[in-house]
Amino acid sequence: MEPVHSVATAPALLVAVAFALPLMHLKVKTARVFHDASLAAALAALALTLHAYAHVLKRGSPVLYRMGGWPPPLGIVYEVDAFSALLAAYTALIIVSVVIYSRWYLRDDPGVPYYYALLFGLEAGLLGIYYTGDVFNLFVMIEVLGIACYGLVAYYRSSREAVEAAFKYAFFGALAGLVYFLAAVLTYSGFGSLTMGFVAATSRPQFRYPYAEIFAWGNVVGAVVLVLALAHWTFTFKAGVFPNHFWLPDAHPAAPTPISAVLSGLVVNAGAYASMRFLYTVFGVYDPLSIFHELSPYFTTVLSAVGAISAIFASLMMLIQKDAKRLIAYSTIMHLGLIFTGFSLGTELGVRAATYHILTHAAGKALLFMSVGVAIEISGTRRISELKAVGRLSPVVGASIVLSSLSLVGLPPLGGFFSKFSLYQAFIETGRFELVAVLLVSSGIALLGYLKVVQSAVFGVPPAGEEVRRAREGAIWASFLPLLVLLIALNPPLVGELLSRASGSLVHAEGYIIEALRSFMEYLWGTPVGG
Amino acid sequence: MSTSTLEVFLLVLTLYSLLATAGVSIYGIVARPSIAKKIISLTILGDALNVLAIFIGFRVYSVPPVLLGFDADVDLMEFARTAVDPLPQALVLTAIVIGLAVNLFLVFLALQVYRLYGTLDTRRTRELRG
Repeated sequence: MEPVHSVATAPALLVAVAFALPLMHLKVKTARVFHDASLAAALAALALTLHAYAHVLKRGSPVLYRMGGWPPPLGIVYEVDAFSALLAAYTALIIVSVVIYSRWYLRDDPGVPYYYALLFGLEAGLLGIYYTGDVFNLFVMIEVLGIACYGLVAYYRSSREAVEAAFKYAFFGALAGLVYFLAAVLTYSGFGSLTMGFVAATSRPQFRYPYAEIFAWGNVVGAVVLVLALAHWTFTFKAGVFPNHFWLPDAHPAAPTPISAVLSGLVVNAGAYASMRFLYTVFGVYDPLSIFHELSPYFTTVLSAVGAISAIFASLMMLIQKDAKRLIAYSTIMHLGLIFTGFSLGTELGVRAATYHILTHAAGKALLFMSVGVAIEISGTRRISELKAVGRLSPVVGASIVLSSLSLVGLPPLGGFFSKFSLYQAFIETGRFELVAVLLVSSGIALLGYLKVVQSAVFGVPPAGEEVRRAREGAIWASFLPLLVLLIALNPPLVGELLSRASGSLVHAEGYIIEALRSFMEYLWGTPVGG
Repeated sequence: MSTSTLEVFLLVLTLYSLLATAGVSIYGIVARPSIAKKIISLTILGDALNVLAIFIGFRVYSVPPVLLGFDADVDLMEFARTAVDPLPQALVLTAIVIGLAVNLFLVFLALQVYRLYGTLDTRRTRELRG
């Protein structure tokens, strides 16, 4: 099969752009050039991820890319299925809108090249996490993502708040990285392979492949409990889920507003994605064919408890916030809690609902952060009570604040309603009525939180003076429009098919495993093996 | 026989000392208030885990993981079972490089904390509520 080069090109291109921008800064000093170049790079990444996604959908089975031509158990591979390709393309789409918004937000900022360098490093890390088919490469990509995030949180490096939040985030992030490193090494010691497809094949007795006994010589069952426990410490940290949420309400507000949108809308998803990939594909805890299936009740209990506590705790914390950005950051913890309860059920409907909620939450949260960011910028303060009603002057900002809040609360016909409704269906299907209560109560409490922001930023005292004109610039329109369209377009008739393909490919891991084994056997026998 | 007993004893001793080092460094991370000492503890933990990774790839009575030419007499299964596993060493190399970057960034942040607060004591730099 012809390799699909767009899979490997997207992260590589972004890393190249990230290094090229600061070098360009030696010669070019105009901020506008960097805004344009970054927009071009973000659009190129979007085109590449969409190409990869279209290819995966057309092929109907995962696409495997061998780095440097090395076959799976020996080399690092990228393996892209309908689930990871969807999240990657969606990430690239939201980053485009964030880059347009940055053009408005950081118009005269002298640090623009470094800002974009870190932003593209972050995007490369995210795409790498989604695309990678290698347990250790996931560690490398988590660190790439991490260090870009720490740098962006510390972007305002002479602000006490930013430096303290970034230190807290970076320090515990480095610790989480070490914990995952240990998990990756233990995976290797147990399974003799780091390729996700091969670890998955070893977990399921019916998949036998040549030389399997050379690779897997360790104590598999003993390793898996430790590996999953350690890895989930890192994944819940990245996702900002209780009890590892402590850094999130500090770090997300301290960053520049477009970065708050990226951190809250996209970066936390990486933790949820990695957790889903480990539980469903790699070790198959929720797969009846896997020898680890007996662990599934424990994971269901722990993860749904963790998710439920996050949702209730964070929605209560939203009520007592006085800072608009902190309030939105707590709402992220709440939504990630709901996503974790969704996929902890172990059913296809649960995975589908969690994936759906990842999509609607990302669009709603990015839009809410960016539109409230306009009000914060014009008012010159983050205190909710002192925000000026920018919504009265600029209809697009006002509509964005209102619609994104309502979508996050879950009001029809916006996307957030349908994703929360499918979570509800997934809870009912498995008879988890306590989770239905958590979903409804946390949404109800959160509604009061959002109303505080909406009340002062849309219906309060309108601003006056010179700054007002900034709220009506074209870049705001251009960046909000794609997200507004997404909020309305994310409804079941339009995206239902894509979601079913995504959740199907995660829950039924056979295609993922067969693709990895096929690539290995092609290398062994030197001839193409039928798909 | 006595040499082999000694080897096993040394191996077990290495394992326990690595776990003890990791434990001490976690104590440093959690309990010490100084940012500098927290960063030092983090690097010690990283080193302990790196050595642990190499330890996992090590085999008692091992041979070097090199085959010079392809010899039909060599029992490949036996070779794979007894050779030192070079892959964890490659992983550790990557982890060291990443650790360097992260530690450098942490040290820069610590410097910035010192410039802004005039102290590295986390009990006196706590303005955010978590």
